[in-house]
Amino acid sequence: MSKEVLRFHGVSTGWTYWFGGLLLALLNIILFAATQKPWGISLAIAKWGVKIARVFGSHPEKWAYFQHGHDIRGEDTWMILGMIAGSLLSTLLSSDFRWIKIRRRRQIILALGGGALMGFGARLAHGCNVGAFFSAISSQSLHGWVFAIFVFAGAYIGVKLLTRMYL
Amino acid sequence: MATHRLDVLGEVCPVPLLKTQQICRRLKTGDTLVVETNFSRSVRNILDWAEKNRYEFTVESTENGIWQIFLTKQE
Amino acid sequence: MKKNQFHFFLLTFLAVILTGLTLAHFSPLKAVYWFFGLGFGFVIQRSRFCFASAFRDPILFGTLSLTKAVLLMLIISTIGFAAIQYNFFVQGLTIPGKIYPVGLNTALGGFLFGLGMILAGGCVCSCLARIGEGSVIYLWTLAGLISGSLLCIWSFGWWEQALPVWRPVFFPDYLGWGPALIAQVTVLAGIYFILCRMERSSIDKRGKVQRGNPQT
Repeated sequence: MSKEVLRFHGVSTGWTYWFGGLLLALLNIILFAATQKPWGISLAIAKWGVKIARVFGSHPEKWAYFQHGHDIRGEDTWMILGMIAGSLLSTLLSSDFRWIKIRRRRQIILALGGGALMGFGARLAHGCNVGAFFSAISSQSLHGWVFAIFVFAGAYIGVKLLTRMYL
Repeated sequence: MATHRLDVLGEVCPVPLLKTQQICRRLKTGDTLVVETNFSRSVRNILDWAEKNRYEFTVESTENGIWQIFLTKQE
Repeated sequence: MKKNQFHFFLLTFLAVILTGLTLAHFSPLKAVYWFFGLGFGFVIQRSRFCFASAFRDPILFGTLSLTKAVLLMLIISTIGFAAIQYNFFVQGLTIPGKIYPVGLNTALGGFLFGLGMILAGGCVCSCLARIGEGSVIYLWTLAGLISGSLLCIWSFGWWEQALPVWRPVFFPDYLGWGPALIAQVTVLAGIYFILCRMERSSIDKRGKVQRGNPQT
């Protein structure tokens, strides 16, 4: 959808998809150049879980997962918080902020279940759509392409389930 | 020249467009569907689909974070 | 009535900058992550970018514009990444980047991730962006994400033994730097043009029907 169409129809407070994609690519390149690590977010969220596990007395740093060179330190938590704050800034700039309440109980089940599946899959494949798709394909690694193909397959099954649920 | 309304406040992607698409199949030429949503991603999703399927459309932000989308079926 | 929220924007902006400066004082890396996070979040919200949509919309609605934007993004970042990686290679350092072994864990993980992101209505990125927009339901998605990834990390030793894993495949190791880059960009551009053609042909079909009607 072009910028002109958006403006003409009264949605002037947005950027086009391709412009967003261009900026995301540039940001990821600059981040890679600056920190020698491409953009990744789901590991930081997993580390929140690790912190909770530590509160209950287990020793996550001994788990097999962290013997693979995955960093257990938590600086990237600020990436997650920054993304939430950045989105909030953009929303407030166009005066679109509103608390969106939950409409029905089924949504909570879908959100929890979908989130758990995503978290599990992301750790199994060493990354989410960002770390194992965007940054991995950009790094010219084969596992990014394999991940993308199977995400597409999973999405196909998910669409079939969801349409059966809602239509 | 009937006007239908669809209230999908609180629903997340892809449900708003899924329901819009379902109702739009039953519309006759010249009929209008008013979709009310508060999910900003869905607004773009619906407009994208409407543009591709040649619906005439306008958007209005009635309150902070609530949008009304008017879709009119062309021949 | 739509109220102006610009004063809230200014307040948040001030708080955000102050947080960044405080972080920079204690740990520069945290500040770097914070400011890049701000950038990513801002861009994702502003352009309504969504990776889940890029995978889902072609299947569900037949709209391809977001998928095309993702491909464009991949082409640009591939070129940029290759330049940085080549720089490391020339200096004889280990090549940075997300290069992990390929195995059944990648396949199974991708499948579960794809299924989950459709059910939850967005992947991890859009979950964070929607929380910033004020959507309460995505806090539940975040809770699911934390518990799911904790479960996987905890049982990872078992998965490692159950699922066969091969070596990491880094294309330039096998094809050489130039050919690998050209091959990947060509494949991405090829998919892009196939999508363009699919989009045009579906519009053409409708156009023919419409043009045919007045004559008959």
